[in-house]
Amino acid sequence: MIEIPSIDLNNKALLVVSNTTYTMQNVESASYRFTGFASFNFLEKDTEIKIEIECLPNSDLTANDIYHLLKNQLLSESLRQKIADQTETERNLILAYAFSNTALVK
Amino acid sequence: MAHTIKLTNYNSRLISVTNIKDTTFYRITENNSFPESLRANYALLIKSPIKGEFPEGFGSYLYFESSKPVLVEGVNSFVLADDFDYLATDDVIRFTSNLNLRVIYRRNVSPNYFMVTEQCNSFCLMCSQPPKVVNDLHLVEEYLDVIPLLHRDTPEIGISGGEPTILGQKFVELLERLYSYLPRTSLHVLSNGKSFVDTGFIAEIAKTKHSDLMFGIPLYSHIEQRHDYIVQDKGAFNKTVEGILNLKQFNQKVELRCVIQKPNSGDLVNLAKFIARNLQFVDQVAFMGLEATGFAKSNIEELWVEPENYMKELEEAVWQLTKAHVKVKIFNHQLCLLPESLWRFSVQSISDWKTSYENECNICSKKAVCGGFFSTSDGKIPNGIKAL
Amino acid sequence: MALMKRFKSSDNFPVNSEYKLLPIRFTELDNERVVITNMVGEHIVVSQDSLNSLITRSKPLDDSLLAELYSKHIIYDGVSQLPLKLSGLKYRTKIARLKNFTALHMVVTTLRCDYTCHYCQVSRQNLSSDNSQFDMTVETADKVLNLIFKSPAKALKIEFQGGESLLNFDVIKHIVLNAEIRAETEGRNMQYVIATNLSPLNDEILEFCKLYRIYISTSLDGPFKLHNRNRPRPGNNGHQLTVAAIDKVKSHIGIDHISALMTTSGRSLDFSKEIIDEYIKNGLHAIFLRPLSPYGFAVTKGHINRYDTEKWLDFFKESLSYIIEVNKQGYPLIEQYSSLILTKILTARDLGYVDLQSPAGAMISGIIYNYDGDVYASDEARMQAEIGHTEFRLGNVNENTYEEIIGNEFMLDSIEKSFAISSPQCTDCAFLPYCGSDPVYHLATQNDVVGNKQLSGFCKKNIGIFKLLITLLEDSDLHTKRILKSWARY
Repeated sequence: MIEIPSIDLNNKALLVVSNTTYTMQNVESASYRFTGFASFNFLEKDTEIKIEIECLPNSDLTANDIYHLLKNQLLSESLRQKIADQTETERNLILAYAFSNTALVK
Repeated sequence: MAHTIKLTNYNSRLISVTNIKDTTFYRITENNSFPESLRANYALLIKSPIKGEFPEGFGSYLYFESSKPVLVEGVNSFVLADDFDYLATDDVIRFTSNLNLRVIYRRNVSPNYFMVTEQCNSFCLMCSQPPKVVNDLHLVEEYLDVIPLLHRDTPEIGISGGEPTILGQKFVELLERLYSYLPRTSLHVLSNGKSFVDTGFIAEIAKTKHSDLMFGIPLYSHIEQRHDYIVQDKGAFNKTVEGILNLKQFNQKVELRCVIQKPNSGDLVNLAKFIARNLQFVDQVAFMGLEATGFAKSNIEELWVEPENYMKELEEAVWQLTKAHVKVKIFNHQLCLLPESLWRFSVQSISDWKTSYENECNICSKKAVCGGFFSTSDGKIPNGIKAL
Repeated sequence: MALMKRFKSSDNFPVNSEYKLLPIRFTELDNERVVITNMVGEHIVVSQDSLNSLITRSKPLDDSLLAELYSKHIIYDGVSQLPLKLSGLKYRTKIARLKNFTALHMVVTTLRCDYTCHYCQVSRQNLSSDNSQFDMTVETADKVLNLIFKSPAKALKIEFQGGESLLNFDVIKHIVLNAEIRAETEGRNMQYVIATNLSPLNDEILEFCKLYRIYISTSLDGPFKLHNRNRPRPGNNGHQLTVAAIDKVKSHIGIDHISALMTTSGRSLDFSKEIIDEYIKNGLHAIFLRPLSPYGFAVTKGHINRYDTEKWLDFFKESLSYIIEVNKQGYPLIEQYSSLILTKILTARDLGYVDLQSPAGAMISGIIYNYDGDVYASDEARMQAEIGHTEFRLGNVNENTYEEIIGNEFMLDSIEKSFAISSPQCTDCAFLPYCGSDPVYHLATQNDVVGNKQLSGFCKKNIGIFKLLITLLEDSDLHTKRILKSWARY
């Protein structure tokens, strides 16, 4: 993962990740969790996803804070994606059982 | 002819022959004036010397040794050792050709357990009735024969083994016959539940439409492999729980039984949580003390755990289940070992022919309501026994 | 070892180290630990490290953790059908209430009220107001009854509200009497609750409530000074009246027939101990800690909500801690909101609490009929209508059929859009099985039925409580754990 940390006095930061490590879906989900503190711009090009972080006025967190927190959150999102992928069959089976006709649960 | 035989209490001895044609069942009566037309199938139990005319026509006559009886010629007479003095009216006994007396059924005992086979498809570490690989269909046949002789007001009959469901269609036949002749009698079948992965089998059982049938199924742990280890069968847990689900799908009553032993004594709370979460619909859960006989005796080092060591765990487990509205019973535990909060769950359950008491018990105020110990437990008495 | 030869040792029955994940979610609990839940809310708390190992298989997990993960249906062996079947059954139990549809029917008998509570969001009318304008008529009540009994639920609960509901006791009587007759014919189970400040209580009302086993729900905000400041009335004797009336209900109807809740005003935040002591003084064994309602606060950034929510969470934590102390000292006192959530965490059951349901409890679980016959998806929706937001007005009993009301397009659309399993962040949240979607709240505070959960006071409040309760279940002493576990209703 290539990162080019950039700290701007206007409370901006730029995080760049490789799109073989994280998908756009990971990036969006992770960033969503900070929408109370910042707004985001995403740009996917070649093997990179650029994430522009710009803090909201009166945000309790700085762009640098969010830069670090976001990196960690990406990891969590990636794990969540793995879980979703690994359990798709089971999800469907469980729901099928749940909605089938049984006399077990009255 | 007079067969004068002294008989002692060989109640559990079985004869492995393939055909017992000359097995004779008798229903006991103490009534000298019993209707004459019925006497041939009855054994007259004579507890005190007969006054007046000798009551003729009975299938056999039973005397007690201590009464020093005078036997009458030309009829079947048997002299019983005094340890048979519990026999009473409506009990059913069987004589085999080499004149062994077996007490098949006792009116005053509830429940009577019918051991219908010694074959089993598990091999539990603590089995009190070690399985045999043997064709023993004659056992269930015997019970099929005896059912019509049992008293119609019998409250409950138990079916055990080995694994009764191994008998397949014969098992269904047994249930049907019991329902036909004893429609008001509850049935309690002890089974490991594995046969019930076959829903067709349960459908056959359900067809009997028995009004009060419950399956007592052991579940030793919430951990799959620990249960499998205890029953010595990989995959047993899965089959058993699946069997339980299937039984419930057919609206059958299910009791979960857990014999507390060293391998699972630390699991009781988690097992309770598992049941509360996944099997809340079972009709009851029974926690049982270990009977140190059979395999349990041989494996006692690996199995015995002092009840005082798991009492806290048991109390929490019972609390958990009770909170979840699951009925709980505790069997084979002495009252002095149980905390008072658990007394109301305790059932006086050791068959009286197995009960023994310690010296301490003779001064205990609760002796009458306490189950005592297994006499078969070969002297394995828990720590902490004291008079209350 | 000491087993007879023909027996295999436990080494022959190892826990399966090769596993497949079952559908799970995880959320951070604190700096070191995460909570993992399965589809029905069975949970386990593990270290971040264990979580990573669990999902990526980077390190083997130890046997006792594996055994727990298996038995809680977080993982399975990838082959057996049993864990899937059991999960399916449990899921089915969890959502079973859905097929009963609306069980809770709230009926606003009048807008008139003798109190002027500071936090009231109803445009209440004072006692001298014209009855005919602000009271529910018998004709409307009949139409309301018809709609109530259209619901397929076998067990129906009718809750009377207001204003001060008892000021229109005639309509309450009318509804109860007729409901009883219909229930008998149709084989339904009825339960009646009157939410009231109790000042109109008289012997006739007491007798009636006793006869029909009606439950009384009243407000007790705390000790004398606090209660009367929150809930003023002419003569400023609200507290005395309430306390006296609670006593009367207990002796005339029964101790199980009175319950009290408190509303946390800004002032209440500093008086957690005093409020709870007040409940104990009045011999009440249950308290419902109710948060500040956000309705009426305009939200631009959500900042205000979150700030208030933070303070409320502190209050809640402090109150719960004292409540547990009180329990330890031997006085049974249940905190009702915790009880609802602990039920979701520890049991396979869902009690159907309207505010914590997904799909939304609004309309599906509970519905409200206003004095004028207007039907709303929830009490909050009714309050929103008072300030001009009528999106969740489903119809009117005098103008619309049952099908038109429950088929209200905006409502159905909102329900669908706000499904937690489809909402960003909710969909991944470990607490999803315990939580709910509240389209009415989010429309009011963020102008969107789904809302951005980062800005949502609803989300923050609930997550705060979930984390608190789970941490207590994990870390507290045995006695505390036992108390909390006893609050779960199976």
